Amino acid sequence: MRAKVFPKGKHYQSKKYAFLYHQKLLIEQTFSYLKCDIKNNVLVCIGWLQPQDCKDRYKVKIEYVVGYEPKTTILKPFILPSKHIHMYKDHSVCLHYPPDMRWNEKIKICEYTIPWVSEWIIFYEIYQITGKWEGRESPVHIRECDKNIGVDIND
Amino acid sequence: MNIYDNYLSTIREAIDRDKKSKSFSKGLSGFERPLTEGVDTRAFFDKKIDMTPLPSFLNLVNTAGLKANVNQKLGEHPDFKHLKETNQTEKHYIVSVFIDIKGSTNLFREYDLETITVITNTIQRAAIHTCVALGGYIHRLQGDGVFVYFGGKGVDKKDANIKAITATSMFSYFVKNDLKKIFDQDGIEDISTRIGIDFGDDENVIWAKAGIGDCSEITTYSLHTNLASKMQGHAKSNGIVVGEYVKSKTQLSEELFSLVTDSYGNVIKRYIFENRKSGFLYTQYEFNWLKYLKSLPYLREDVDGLVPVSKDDAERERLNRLRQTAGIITGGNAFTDSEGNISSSSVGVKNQPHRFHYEG
Repeated sequence: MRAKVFPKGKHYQSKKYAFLYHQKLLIEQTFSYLKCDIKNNVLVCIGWLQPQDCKDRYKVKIEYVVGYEPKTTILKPFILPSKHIHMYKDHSVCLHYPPDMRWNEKIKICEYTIPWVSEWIIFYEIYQITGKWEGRESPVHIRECDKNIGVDIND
Repeated sequence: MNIYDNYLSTIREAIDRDKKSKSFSKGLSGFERPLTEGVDTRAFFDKKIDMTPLPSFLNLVNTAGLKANVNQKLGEHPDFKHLKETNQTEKHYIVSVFIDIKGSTNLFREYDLETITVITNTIQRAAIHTCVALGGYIHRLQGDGVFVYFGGKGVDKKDANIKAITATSMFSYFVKNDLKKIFDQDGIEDISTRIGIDFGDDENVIWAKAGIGDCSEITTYSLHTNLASKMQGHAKSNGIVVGEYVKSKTQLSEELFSLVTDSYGNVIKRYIFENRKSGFLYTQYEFNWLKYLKSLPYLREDVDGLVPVSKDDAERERLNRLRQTAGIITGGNAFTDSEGNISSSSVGVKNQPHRFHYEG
């Protein structure tokens, strides 16, 4: 979701790397299945996970640009995108309804986005059996073009 | 476990023929040789049995979402067999498993050599098929025992360890329960299995050719392969002993592991390997395989002991468990651990409330 809250000033631009590095450290300390790297002002975390009782292993990619909500993509297995499973055409998933909480650079990805990925997988596995999304959903929806970003557009 | 019924009936049949032939010859004094036929080993070996596990096994494997490694030859791990033609070596992790059948000497008190040949071969086949069904590679047969590798290129390390633990647990159950019932009837005790398992990570295992020319094989050079064999020696009757790397890789409940003890409950040989110079102390653990098997979603307990659940039942139970987890999430009581598992056990990060979103 494009909720730009990070100022574009020179001072903040120079601090981007520090913010990204801090998030990277926190993620690596908390989640052993993710490997993280910072490239072109984007923190990219990739890993395989299979929450308990899930049939498949999932390869996920989380891309974070300072100040924006991270973009989470399910790389494997191949999943047919659909609004019913909150997945866009590029296989990124929408884990959060922006009015519930405005994203800012202080929000820790390891406490929000990453546990939500596990939740998405749990609800997706239930959906595969029942055909019904049983997770909590937003009352309104955003458009395809409003999906979260994976590049630093301010750079 | 009824997946072993076929092996049990083969053994039962051999024992019955053995008894019949003896009782008939006993009744006819003066005859040195029995008039009825004993066990026909030729017929046993003529039966076409390949590496493909029996359908009962394949059903279970299918229900569990696993895949059998049917296409393999003894001692030729497909990911490393190319090394046999070269002098090259490769570093790659492996789980080494030593399965030994103890007490087969007792069989000589009761049965003919032919009968014993059929019995020991059938037990060994059961061990082989159990491991193959769960993705293992049979590396070597040693007397009654089997040396198996689990894992390989593209196989997740945790998965490889879990499969090794599962295969050996199932085989231990077969020996301790199913096989015991047969031999108990004839007063034969102490047929048991002892198993050692260890995991050597990429930097600690070298794959290379051992031997010369045609008299060679591909094998692993690793402290942890040696330790698996050593740990098997420390296992109790029908016990499984694993190295601490297996414990940490499987990430199973702490309750399933305990220090190895003697019959009085005293800890014996806590460290299976000690290098005081480098400060490397490596612990061995007894693995509670029965508790582990009871926790598996594709097995259930009934009056006959553990039996595989049907695929439909397994899926229904899985959905129930997923919904329990979903309930924890929507109830705001969820925690996510370092591997991405969700539970209410306060381990890991507390999940924050949110709502999924989208519209095209």
